[in-house]
Amino acid sequence: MRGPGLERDRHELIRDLAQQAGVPVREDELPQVAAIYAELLLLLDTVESVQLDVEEESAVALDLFAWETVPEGPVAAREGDAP
Amino acid sequence: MTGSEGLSRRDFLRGRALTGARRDEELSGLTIAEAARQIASNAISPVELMRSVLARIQRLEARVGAFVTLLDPEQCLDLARDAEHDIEMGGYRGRLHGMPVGVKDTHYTEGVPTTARSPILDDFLPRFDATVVAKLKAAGAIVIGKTNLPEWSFGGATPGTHNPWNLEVDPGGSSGGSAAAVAADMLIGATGGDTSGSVRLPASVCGVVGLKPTYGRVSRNGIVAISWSLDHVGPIAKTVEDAALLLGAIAGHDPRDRTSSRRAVPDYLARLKTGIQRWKVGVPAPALLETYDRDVCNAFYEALQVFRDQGAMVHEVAMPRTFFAAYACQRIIRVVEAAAYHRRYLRTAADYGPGSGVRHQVLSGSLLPGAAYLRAQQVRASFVRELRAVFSAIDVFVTPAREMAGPPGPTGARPFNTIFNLSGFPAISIPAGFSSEPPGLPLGIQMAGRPFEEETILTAAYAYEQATDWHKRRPEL
Repeated sequence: MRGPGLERDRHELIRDLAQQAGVPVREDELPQVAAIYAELLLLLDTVESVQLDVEEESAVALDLFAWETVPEGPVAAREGDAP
Repeated sequence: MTGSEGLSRRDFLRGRALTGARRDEELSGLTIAEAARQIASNAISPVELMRSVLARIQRLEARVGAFVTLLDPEQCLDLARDAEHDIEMGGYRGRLHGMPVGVKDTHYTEGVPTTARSPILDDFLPRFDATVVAKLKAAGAIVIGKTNLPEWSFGGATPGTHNPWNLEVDPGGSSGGSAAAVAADMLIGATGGDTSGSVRLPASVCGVVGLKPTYGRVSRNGIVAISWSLDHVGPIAKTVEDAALLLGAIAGHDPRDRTSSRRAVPDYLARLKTGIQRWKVGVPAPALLETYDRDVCNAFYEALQVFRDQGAMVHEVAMPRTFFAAYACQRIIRVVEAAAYHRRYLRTAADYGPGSGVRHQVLSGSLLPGAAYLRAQQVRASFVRELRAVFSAIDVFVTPAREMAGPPGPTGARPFNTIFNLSGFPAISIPAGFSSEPPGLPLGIQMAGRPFEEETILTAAYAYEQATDWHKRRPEL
């Protein structure tokens, strides 16, 4: 689908997502928000194209800067990490 | 600032003036190290230095537009008199004592407006100083102004501020006010914030030094956030030595910032002048610089020859396999964390700046699924591990400071800047030449190092700086 129909659908999607997220997107903001959201989805495609191994996926490293206490080498598995 | 409200830039310029002040601006051109030497030897006084800087500001601020708020000049002079008295009485606190400095208007300053250039924070008067501000004051520095930035620090430009090298050109962002003020000798030194290169980029565009420390090295307590896991605070200075002095003053553990490191702060001057003989300098493959301006590449390759001349070994290093995803990770993490920070404002206030892209960005970030953020963090962790492996074989990694002469637009991609926000590794940008097209704009190079090895990048930067004279050039204003 192209043209006004696609734009209408995109705006409808943004309205739905905004409602789910509980943030107020005004009608006049829909074009800008939709454009940035589309750009973010492209970036997300790039991120998701990276193949992570099982260890990387299971170690949800939200202690982002654990490297501060691990001078060299791979990040050690921590007690409680999923096998 | 000591609890009294600052003047708006306009009030200052209208002339709560420097009655009787000596209009000599000469001292404003000193570096921190030079001024400190002269103060220590009684050749100049902190009051003379302050008068000189205030005179410079009064003459130039209408053209440069570096400040959001300036302290009352009489109060600045009072604080300089206090510093002078303390020094005379034997209470010398070190090389920052009596230095007029500025901080980005994201830094909380007790009783002084802190707006982040957002209408939402127009009336915000913090009840405490950011840790960085408190540390600068404890070191004897005199915080005389809050420097300009784009709304909420979003973007690579600083509307309202003009580049001292060409007043029709933007100084870069988001710490553009700090960089422009230091370049124009309107401050002896300053600090800024760096989430996507926002200290290094404007420093490079304005021909001064900008240092983004390791994540956790400098407290973010009392700093208006963009993105908690990407934000850093660092110095902007006229020379590498001054950047080292400022970093030494603001670094260190802060119990009020849980991301703050407990590692001891070294003396950043101790190894500064030890040289880079036999150092391994890593550089990116030329293919990764294909989109860079010719002037930028020429300056970069000339800089590499300077490193070789200093005895360093320069060789290409391969970027991690996740390199091309790193920029995307940084963007996603930044916008989602910003959305979380702004949620309270999105719900309760619509008064972002006119035509504000900030509101649109944070709204868009609010719509991404949680899984997207988590995936970006997982890839980020992988990238950091891979980058550590790259850096294990080199002492320092050198790139151009930016892709083009002059600042990029608000959406300009800066992968070699943002990867060091994503990884938390320290990086510094220093002057490395001037452009031919557009003519006369400063160019820079960036040096990055392993986590908590700020000493290493400072040593490399100092060696390059001392072998060149780019840092000695000043804009004619």
